[in-house]
Amino acid sequence: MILSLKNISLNFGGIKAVDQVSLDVKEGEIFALIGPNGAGKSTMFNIISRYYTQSNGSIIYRNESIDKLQPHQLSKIGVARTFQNIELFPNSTVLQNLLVGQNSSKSSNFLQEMLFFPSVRKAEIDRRIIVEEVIDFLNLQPFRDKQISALSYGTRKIVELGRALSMQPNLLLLDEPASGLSAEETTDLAFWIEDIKKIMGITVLMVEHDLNLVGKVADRVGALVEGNLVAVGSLKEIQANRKVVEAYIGT
Amino acid sequence: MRTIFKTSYDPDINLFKDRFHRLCYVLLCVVLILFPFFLNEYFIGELTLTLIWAIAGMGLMILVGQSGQVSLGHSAFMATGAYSVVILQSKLGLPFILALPAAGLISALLGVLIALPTTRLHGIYLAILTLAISVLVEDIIVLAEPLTGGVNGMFASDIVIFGINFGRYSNIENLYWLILFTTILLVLVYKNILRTPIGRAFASIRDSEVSASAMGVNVVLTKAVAFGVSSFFTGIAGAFFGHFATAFNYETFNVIMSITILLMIVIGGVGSIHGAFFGAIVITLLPVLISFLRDFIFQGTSINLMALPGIETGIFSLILILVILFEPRGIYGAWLKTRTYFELFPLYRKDMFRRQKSYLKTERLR
Repeated sequence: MILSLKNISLNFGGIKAVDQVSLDVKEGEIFALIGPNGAGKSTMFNIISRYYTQSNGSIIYRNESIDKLQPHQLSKIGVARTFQNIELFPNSTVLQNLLVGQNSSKSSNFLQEMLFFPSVRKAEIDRRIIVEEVIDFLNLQPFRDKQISALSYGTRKIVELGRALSMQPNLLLLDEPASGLSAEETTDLAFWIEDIKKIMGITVLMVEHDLNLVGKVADRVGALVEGNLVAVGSLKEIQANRKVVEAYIGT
Repeated sequence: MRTIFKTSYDPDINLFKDRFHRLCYVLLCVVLILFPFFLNEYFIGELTLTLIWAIAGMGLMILVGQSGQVSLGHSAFMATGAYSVVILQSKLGLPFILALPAAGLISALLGVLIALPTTRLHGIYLAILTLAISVLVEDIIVLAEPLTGGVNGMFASDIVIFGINFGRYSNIENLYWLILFTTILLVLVYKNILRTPIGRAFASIRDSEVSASAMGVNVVLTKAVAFGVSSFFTGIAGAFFGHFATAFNYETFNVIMSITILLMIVIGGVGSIHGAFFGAIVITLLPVLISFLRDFIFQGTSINLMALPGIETGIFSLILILVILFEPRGIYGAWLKTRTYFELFPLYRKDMFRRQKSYLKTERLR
């Protein structure tokens, strides 16, 4: 198990956003969370990446509890995430955005950087090599020196995926990676997500509404309904589950 | 149009894009070093003041332009620098060469102390708080009379390093060269910030704190570092300002000074080193220009504009309004556009620098 959630609950006032959810993500799989709007999928993500603190339960990442960690400490242990509404740094270039992903692995402190010690240049080149691999992987070469604010929505989505990859994570959290993408871009994305698993060996946990994409890439699917995890299994099993059908279509 | 062919990652890290670029800046430095041989003492003095303002501007630029925080309290750091450098020399007997960096560090410490509790504030709230600090510092200076001389203020003696005199009135050329040297060093430090992870961390908290923390950037710590570096620069500027003014008191470092530094970087162009220098040039050149014009008009038409005391502030405000309306990227932005126009001639399009606003910004996690 790379990630285990044990009885996670979170209340906002009287509303149970997440209710007693237990979930295991296996090393090297692609796990997709689906569910209607307001089911608590993004809340789950924000709990895992420590923006919210659960009122109950605990999160185990590689046999260690991460309940006490701050959001910025997650990158050190190898957890990266993307955001539903694109949270890139719009006034920087694509290259600079990707390089930020390497910030957490730096060994120099800000004084050494301000005085530009020789080791800083070497570390800078090492970071660049890692980032260039990501650029090659996602075919971002034409956009390398473009500002984010000059890019289209679809490209920005890919850059955000790239920025998470340049952190060289073990666990990648994708929050609706295909929302707002065209059919063609979604097909590309499906190949990339599969390659992320197969070639890079990264475990992927994603929230997604596009069931075609989920069917193509996900090994296992979990369905969240009103804060409860009602079913876990293959997409076929989930689609046959009565509770899930009820939640989507109504009784 | 020049095309740069890169065969390694080094050109992207180097200080200068290419040889031509480097030649330009070397020439600029040579010209600046040679200036005192061609100018009279008055103009050397004005040039020295320009450099001091530019250092202070770079300080605020790191905070506003690079890490996206506002400060209306930078006169407080100027004051800290000016008072510390004089007190360290007169009361503790430190030589100037040690007192200067120490004054910078004391300002930096103050900056960090202010930053730590205020990192949760954004935008207008941070502006108000820093404004309050700059008012507060004036009072603290008056109250701490045994140390600061209270209302009477302090006198800064001539700077002496290894027996060489850098006095404001006796050896203004030396003072100019000293400050020029410090400015070049600080520009290099600023450039290093821009090309290393710390600069990227600054930019990330400026653009999106949420994803900065997802990228492993410690937002609180980075803000404190930004404040510290910013107030270090400003403290150094303050130390030189004190020695340049030779006498100063609490009124020297008032709120107007804070606002002036902020206006300076807005007019010059927020987010670039050039902007700090352009702004500093405007700020020192303007009063000179106005007094020349005033004399000119008086001689021609015998209309005496001396009777209008607010004319300087008025013209300054007018320039600011025009800049914000027509060139929000400041003088540096205008220069970039002009340069691109000639580089791409005749292919330049009018909207080349227009950028789409960023998509939905999530504020959910604030």
